[in-house]
Amino acid sequence: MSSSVKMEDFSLRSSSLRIGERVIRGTLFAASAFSVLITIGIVWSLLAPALEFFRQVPVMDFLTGTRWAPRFKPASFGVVPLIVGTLWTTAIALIVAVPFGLGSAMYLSEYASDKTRRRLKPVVELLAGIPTVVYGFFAIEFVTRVVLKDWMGLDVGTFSVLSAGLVMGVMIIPTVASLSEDALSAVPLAMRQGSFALGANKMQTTLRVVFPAAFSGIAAAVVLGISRAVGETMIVALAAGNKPNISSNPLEGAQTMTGFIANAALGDSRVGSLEYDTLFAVGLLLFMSTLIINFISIRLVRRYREAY
Amino acid sequence: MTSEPQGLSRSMHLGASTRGETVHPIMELRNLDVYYGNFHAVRDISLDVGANQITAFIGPSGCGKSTVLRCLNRTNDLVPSARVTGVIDYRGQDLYASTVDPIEVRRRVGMVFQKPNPFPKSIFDNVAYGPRVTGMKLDKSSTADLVEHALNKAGLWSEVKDKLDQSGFALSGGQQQRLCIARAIATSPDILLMDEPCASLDPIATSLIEDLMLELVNDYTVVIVTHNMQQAARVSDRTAFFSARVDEAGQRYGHLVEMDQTSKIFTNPSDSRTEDYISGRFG
Repeated sequence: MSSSVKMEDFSLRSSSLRIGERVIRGTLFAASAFSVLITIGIVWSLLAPALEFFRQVPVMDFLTGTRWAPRFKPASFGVVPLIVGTLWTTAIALIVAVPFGLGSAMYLSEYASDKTRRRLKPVVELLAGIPTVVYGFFAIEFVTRVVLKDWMGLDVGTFSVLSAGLVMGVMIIPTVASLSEDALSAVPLAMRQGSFALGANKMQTTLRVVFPAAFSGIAAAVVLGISRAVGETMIVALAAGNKPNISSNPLEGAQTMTGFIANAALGDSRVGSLEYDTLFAVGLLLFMSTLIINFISIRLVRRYREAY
Repeated sequence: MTSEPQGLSRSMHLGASTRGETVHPIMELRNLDVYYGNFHAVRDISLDVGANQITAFIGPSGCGKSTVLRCLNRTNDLVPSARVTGVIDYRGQDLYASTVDPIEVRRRVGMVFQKPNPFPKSIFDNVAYGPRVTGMKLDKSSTADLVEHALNKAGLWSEVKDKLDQSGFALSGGQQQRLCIARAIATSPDILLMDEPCASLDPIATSLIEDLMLELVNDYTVVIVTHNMQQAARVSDRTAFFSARVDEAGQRYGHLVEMDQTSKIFTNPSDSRTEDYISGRFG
């Protein structure tokens, strides 16, 4: 019929004000805004004391100096030893976590039966639930003393980068394994079938088809592992010691950025003193590092994301 | 879509469909049964696949035609609960004999799937994948020749020759399917299985693939599963009609109703169920 037909009580306007909808929308927005605000708050609280620190210590002296002795007289604020300590423990952790994490992800996703996967995956993830202070004691009491000294006969001190790094690697295995497994499992079955139908075996299919297809997720998993290792505090504070040290020998102890903060924060630095501000300068550097790592991770994920 | 490939014309094939008369079987299925766990899905299939012919499997959903197709290159092995009994004689060897390596079978019996499934690799690497994983010792230039040959056979070369390093995902659906066909051809299989290869394609892309099948059958044996009866009628030499039935225990299972020359199946089938199906009275 024609549009000239008119009806009583016919309105296309909303029958209610839909207040409920708006309240829900507002609440959800507040929830997501909360974490953004907190991040800004963290940066702010770091920034003010850190800027105070850099007013007294030039940024370049801080970033390039090779002697870290904030409590000595004369004090020296070269952060390089702490960065080297962090790089050492992180690198050793990755040497452990990447092969074991990816290996178990490939096994769980491609080789294990459904039943095995359902039982094994929670066990792997359990490693992530162990408090890091427990890992720290495990590093000192078992890895350093028993594994490195007694079994391997290494000339390792009470504190060592090697021990802290190894245990930290164990700690991030579940992060790498679980996220990589998710990425591998998300690759469509059709892609595997396509590979098998061409006469490829399981390993070829896994390494040449499934793995590249899941690369963005795997890269994200590894990068998340890196940022956990960089930010990890308790294990390194306990097992790596608190002696700033630029050394090429992983059997020696060293202090990391996080190790310094944990150690110094327990001390009695007066609020507003240079020593107090030092904590925030290192904290800011740490925050920037993990921020850059996460940024790289996002770029990697975007670049290699496959549209399947 | 771009140009028509240099395939055989339809009229030429209508003449060629008389090939359906003589069968030199390359595969003989005898009393094939497929189980998924306790479910006896497909029962007592016996049929011959003629060499250098296009064999079509048609029938309603759940009639087991895709299941039977997947037995022909042992892709059913990838389903953990699947079990197959009976014999598939392929050039004198039973595909399901305990000494047979399914990987070797799949190197000779290639497969193209319902949905195009290119790998997340370049067009070139997609096609070179099969030869590489099957350990063919090829240097750079012979790999390039092989890739060009396969893409040519699949009627895709002219469309992709300037972008071989682009991702296979960058192609249209129909091009992706022809890429998958090129990928299967690159390993020089003996038999090419196609599981509803045009199900996700538009009519133009479908017509290109059909022309391609008619071209391919000069070199290969092709077995195609299709829901599209016109397609079976257009391209195949022989057609097997499958149907589903319910047994005394109430289990639905697939079985073979009849198999014959395509022209006979579509004009004068022996079984009334075939006639009902092709004339659209059921299914």
